[in-house]
Amino acid sequence: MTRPELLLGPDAAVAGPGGLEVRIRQPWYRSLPLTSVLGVTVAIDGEDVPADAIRLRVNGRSRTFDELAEVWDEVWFIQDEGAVEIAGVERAAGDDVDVSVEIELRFPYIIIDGVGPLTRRTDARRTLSVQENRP
Amino acid sequence: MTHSIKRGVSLYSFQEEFFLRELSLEDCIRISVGFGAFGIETIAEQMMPGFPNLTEDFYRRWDGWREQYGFQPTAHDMFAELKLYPDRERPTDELVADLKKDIDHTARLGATVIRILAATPAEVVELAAPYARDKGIKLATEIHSPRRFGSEWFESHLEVAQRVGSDVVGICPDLGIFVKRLPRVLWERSLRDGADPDFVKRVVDVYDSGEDTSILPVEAERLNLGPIEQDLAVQATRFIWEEPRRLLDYMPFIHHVHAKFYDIDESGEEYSIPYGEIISVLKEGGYDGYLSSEYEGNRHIQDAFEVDSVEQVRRHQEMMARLLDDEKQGD
Repeated sequence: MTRPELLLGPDAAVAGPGGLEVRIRQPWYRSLPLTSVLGVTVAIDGEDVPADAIRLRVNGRSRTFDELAEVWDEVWFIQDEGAVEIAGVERAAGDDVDVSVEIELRFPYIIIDGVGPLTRRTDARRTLSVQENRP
Repeated sequence: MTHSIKRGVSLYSFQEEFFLRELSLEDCIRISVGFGAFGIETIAEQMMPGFPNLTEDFYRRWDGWREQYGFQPTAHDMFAELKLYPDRERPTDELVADLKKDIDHTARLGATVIRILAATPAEVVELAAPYARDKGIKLATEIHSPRRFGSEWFESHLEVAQRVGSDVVGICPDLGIFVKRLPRVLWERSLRDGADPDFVKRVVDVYDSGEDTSILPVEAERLNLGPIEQDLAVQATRFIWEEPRRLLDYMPFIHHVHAKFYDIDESGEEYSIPYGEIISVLKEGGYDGYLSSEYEGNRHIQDAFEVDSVEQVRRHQEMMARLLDDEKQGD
């Protein structure tokens, strides 16, 4: 379930109220607690977005990754989008944008002997047409 | 030979289509029953949003599907979130409390077995066993590659089953412990990714001849091969082949079977797992539970092919029905 297309669909770029959003999916076969999302990195049109300009909105609530690390009792359902909110990057609906995104997940139930919990990075890159805002 | 083995599907099999929202939970049930697989195994964290706090509305919908499609809920697959906290271990009492929630959920579904994730500490299973017995639920630790029969890990779980009683605690062999030939979908993917064909052949030869696979990552490194070859070499060490007749040593403990498969080709055979041999052994041992189809080929082909889990499950069920000789079912 780590196919990049599953992470970043064709309608992933959205002109959100606070700037550009990249709607991603949790690329795994089961929902994971939010503390399992170790981080997301994004580059827009080839330019890396600083880590402190990124928040992730899941279940209608926007959080930093430090905040997500503490959320053990809420999961990201595998059919739901998460919105990567990017501060300081504005794009209008209809614009083309080149998006690179990488997510790192930690699987709290897969323990590799001598190593610890399995972590996995999945990345994807696509040129996307920016969509109107949607819920 | 007459037997009482039944066919089922783990809805894990449809993970790709479910993720893509092409199939719903109800669709997965309807499709499975359509293949004559009346045992339905579910993963709440996959298809039941809100778990472990599902509403009575959800359970009433589930009851309605049971009535409509006539299936038997078989197993609930639990997860032990052992490393939930980044900075500390999960306390045993929290894992036991989670497992009790799994037991309640399983009972409410009308299923009788919980697949216990292999990494779950045996102590957790033992502490939850009295509660499971009260609720009529069996706790079946999954025997999943690369874990083996007879290992220290296996013995610690078997001891619990012996102490508590095999009527409550047992095992769920995953047929991925009987991989006789390295799955074709695995090494074909490596070739597509540009792996050195000579090294791929070497990996397949070592695995299929039963030699020690631990030499393969070492060889990949010595040959200064790239990450694709090294990944294949490591993956080959995580597949195992157990002698199917070993199942006969543990028959009273076997409460459920994950009928793992990677690829059923057009001739209707699983390339890597000798189903005929395994099913003969299960018949001989008097197994009377479910063989629950668990398709896990999607991850190896999704780079190049449209995943069709439904067709794979259909072929797998057809193969199992043939090997079980379904008209002779029931004695």
